[in-house]
Amino acid sequence: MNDDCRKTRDRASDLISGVLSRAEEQAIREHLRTCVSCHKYVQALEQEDASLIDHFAQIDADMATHQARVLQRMDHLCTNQKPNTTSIWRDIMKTRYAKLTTAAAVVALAVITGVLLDKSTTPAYAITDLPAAFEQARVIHLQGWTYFPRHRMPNGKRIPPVEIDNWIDVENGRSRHTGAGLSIEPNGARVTVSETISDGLYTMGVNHTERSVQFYRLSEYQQRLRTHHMARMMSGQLFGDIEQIGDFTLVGQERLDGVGYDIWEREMPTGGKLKLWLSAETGLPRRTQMLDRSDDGRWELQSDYQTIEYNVEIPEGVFATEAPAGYASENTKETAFPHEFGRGGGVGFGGNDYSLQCDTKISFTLSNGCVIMGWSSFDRNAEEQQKSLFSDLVFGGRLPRLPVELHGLKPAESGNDVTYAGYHLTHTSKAGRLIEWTLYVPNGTPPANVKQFGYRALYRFNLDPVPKWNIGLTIEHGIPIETATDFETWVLGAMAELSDDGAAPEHVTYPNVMELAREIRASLHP
Amino acid sequence: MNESIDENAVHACQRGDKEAYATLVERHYRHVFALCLGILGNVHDAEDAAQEALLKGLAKIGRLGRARRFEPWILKIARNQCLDLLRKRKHLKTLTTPQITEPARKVNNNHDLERAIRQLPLELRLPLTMYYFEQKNAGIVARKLNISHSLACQRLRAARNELHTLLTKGGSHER
Repeated sequence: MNDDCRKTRDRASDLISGVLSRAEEQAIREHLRTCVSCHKYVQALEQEDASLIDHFAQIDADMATHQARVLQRMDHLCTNQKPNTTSIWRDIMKTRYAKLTTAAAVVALAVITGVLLDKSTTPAYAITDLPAAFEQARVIHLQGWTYFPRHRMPNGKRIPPVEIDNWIDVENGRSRHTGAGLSIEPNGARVTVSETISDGLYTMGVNHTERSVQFYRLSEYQQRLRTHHMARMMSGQLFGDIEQIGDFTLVGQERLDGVGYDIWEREMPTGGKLKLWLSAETGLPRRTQMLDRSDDGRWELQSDYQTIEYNVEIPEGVFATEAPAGYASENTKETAFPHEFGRGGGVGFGGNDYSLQCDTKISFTLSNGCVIMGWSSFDRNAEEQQKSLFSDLVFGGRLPRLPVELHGLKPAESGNDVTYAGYHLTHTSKAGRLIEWTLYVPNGTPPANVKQFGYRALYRFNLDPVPKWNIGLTIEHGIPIETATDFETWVLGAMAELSDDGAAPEHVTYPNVMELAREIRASLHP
Repeated sequence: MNESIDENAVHACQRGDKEAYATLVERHYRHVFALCLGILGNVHDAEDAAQEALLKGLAKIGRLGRARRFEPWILKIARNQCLDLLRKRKHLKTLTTPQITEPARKVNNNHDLERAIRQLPLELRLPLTMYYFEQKNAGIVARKLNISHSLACQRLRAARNELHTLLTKGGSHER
């Protein structure tokens, strides 16, 4: 590098800034025509300049929103600002006499204020009533945004937030749900936006990223199940773990659209934070935010549901299952795929000797801690032998010696000694496949976290030679069964769904199953 | 002309017209934000700091003697707000294990650019950020930072060179 090169590089920045005199600029341009290395250097700086312009323009694009937030907070502060007490105090305390009389008045005022404040900070509702209010709602609407602050797109830009617009019409089994899936690739993340709309008969899956739709046909039971799952998912979006609702603390108040709201916060065990805006008058939720800490400790917004509505009128077309214009349809309602029920989880594996399949169809947890699960297991090479395995089974007896026998359960979260042993309840048959229904009875008190983490299946191979494979099957906590009606709706409903004749076996009833569970537990702890 | 708009708005605020402060926010938010971004190097922190600074300004506007000097006054509040935050962060950092930043490699996306900007020392990051926020006008940067035009250009030069080094050859530890 010669002196000219050094000078050029020294002034390259000024060249880009346009602050050089014409003569200076001309001299540098002259050098650049002959020096490849300096030419490349200036080119690189120019590219970086362009990137900087782009980078700051992106930040600048959000300026109006930032500014609006300041004005909003300012507005809020001004609305709630107290009168300037200091100057009033100074005026009052001008004389000694005033000092004495006001001192007495202040003591009395402090007592009164204390009482009033104490009352004013106690909400007129119990936050623990929230889940019940949610469960009783016939229509629920949730609208807001989900954010991806930790990821960048392959082009390095932030991932734009995805708008979420979820509806549930409990009575008519209709639902609409927006999904945003994130796939992490080596050079960045990609978001897939989808919607699932159920009109009570058909379900339309819409892939907005690929602009395509698919239709599914659902049975009445499946529609109920879908609505139930949707309600649970929405409850999670709103309140986090519903069992921990009492852990929220009141942190402040805010007025939204002229209505007063209490702000509640809860730090999650995972490190995140959930904020809830509840109407100060009714306790019903209006808004919820999920935040998480960034690597450098800042709170970052993960989701912001700005509208939460109960029992509102449903706008026309919300549950319409018509493909949007310009979207490719993989099928039609006439050729809709039947929805395969009970794909709770399963494993398939094979080798020289076997071709095994083991599926868990659906699970339920009873109020006494027992679990009922429908499952199947077969060797594709020897399926015809299945029926004989069920021939001598009795209610409350041993399980069928299926190729993979799910004989017990453990809480999925390790560190708990409770084991659940399996007892046969009944079996059903659907399209040539036999489904075992087992009652799993725990030998102790199940941990509360099974609701969150579920169970792990204990299994044995009834095969010779015994395969050396390890299988890991996690079972969901499933739908809670509290009453005989729950049992009929969900457990017997599932059995009927997985029977060719559409009916559940008659001998399986709620009292029978509860009595069986009681007897088994009594025998375990005489 | 601009200063008289500020002057009128400040006087109105001091008479109790809080809405007049909205005018000041609208007029100065970008500059306050650019300064905070230049000091803190992070959009979210800058937004928080700018907001806090403007709200502090609202609370203290009664004490502003020279109404025409609203801009340097609010920028000073913002600067103190940011430096205070950095001091707290520094204290926190001494309590935690130092974070080693991997050397910057040849980069071409905004995420790496953002990181490289954060790695610049404060005295270079601040004029660079303000320069790109002020339509590439070194004169405005000089005025807002209360430094000479030639010093502003000198810092911009150094910032660009350092940034180029960070983006191509190797990195340094985050500051």
